[in-house]
Amino acid sequence: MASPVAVITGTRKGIGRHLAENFLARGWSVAGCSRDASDLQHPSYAHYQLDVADEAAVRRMVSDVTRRFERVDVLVNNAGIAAMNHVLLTPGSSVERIFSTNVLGTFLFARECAKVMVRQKSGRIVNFATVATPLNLEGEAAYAASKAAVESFTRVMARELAPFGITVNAVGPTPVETDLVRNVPAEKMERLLRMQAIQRYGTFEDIVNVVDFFLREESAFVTGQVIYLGGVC
Amino acid sequence: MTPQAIESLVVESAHLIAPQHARGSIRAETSLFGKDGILDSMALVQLVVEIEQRLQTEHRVDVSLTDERAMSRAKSPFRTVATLSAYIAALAGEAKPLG
Repeated sequence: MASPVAVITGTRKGIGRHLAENFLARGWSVAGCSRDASDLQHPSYAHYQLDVADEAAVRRMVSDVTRRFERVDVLVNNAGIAAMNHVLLTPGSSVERIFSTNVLGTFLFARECAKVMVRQKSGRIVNFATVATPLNLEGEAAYAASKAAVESFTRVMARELAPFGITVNAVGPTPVETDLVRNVPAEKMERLLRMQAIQRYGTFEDIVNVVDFFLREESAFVTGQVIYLGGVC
Repeated sequence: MTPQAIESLVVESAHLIAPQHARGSIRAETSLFGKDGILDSMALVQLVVEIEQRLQTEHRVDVSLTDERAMSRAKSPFRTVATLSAYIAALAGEAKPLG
C-alpha cells in the first residue's frame, strides 16, 4: 500500500510542525499549511500558505493535495489561536478572530477532506480541543467556547461520517510550552497546572501519542471521543 | 464541459451511488431526490460529493453544489438529472478554472 497521506493545519511551528516532522519520518506524505511561509523542507512535504478560515483557499488546497497525492488518509486540525482576556475587556473582533480560526477553520478542513475520504470509504480526522473547556478557565472565555464548539462538531460529525468509514475524534492538550502560553504569567500557569491530576506541562510526545491512538488501524471503533491529557476530566 | 458531458457525469455518478439502478435506466427526466427519487438523503450527500470531486479532479472545475443559492432556491436543483445538470452547467460557467 502507498504511504499514508496526512493533511495537518498550522505546521509552521509548535505542535503542528512536530506532527508533520514525525509523520514524515515514518515515510508518510504530508500537506501542511500556515498563514506564513514554512522552512520545512522534505521531498514528501507540501506547504500551502493560507488562512484556514478562507473557504476558497481551503477548497483549492485540498483539491490540489488530492491531485498531487491522490488521497487523504488523515486530517489533523491543529491550527488554533488563543487570546487571554477578561470577558469585560475582550473586543468582539478578538472573539471573531478566535472563532474564525478555531471553529470555521476546523469545519472547512474537515468538510473538504471528508469529501475525499467519503470516496475512499476510509479516513481519520483528529481535531484539537483543550483542557480550558472542561476546566472553565477564567480569562479564556472565547478560546474555551470556541473549543467547546469544536468538541460538539467532533461528536456530530463522527455520527454523520461513520457510515463512510471515517472516524472523528479530538485530543485536548494541557498547556505545552509553546507560543500560546509563553506570554501568560507564571503564577497563572502554576495555578492551572494544579488543576490537573498530573501536574506538569504537556509535551509534544504526549499529544502525538493520543493522535497515534486515534490513527491506529485498531481504533476503527473509536469515534466522537475527546481525550484530555493530564488527567483533566 | 458540454451539456452532454455534464449530464453523463451526473448519470455515471448516480449509477455509482445507486448501482441497483442500471445506467440505461437513469435518464434526463429521472427523479433523483424527493417524490419518486432514486436517492435517499444519505445517497444524495454521496452524489454531491462524487460529482464535486470528479469535477475537480477530472475536469479541473471547482464548484460547490451546496452553496447558499442552491439551498435557498424554491425549486431544488437536485430534483432530476436534467435540473442538476443544468445547475452544474450554470455554476461551471461562473467558476474560475483551477490553476
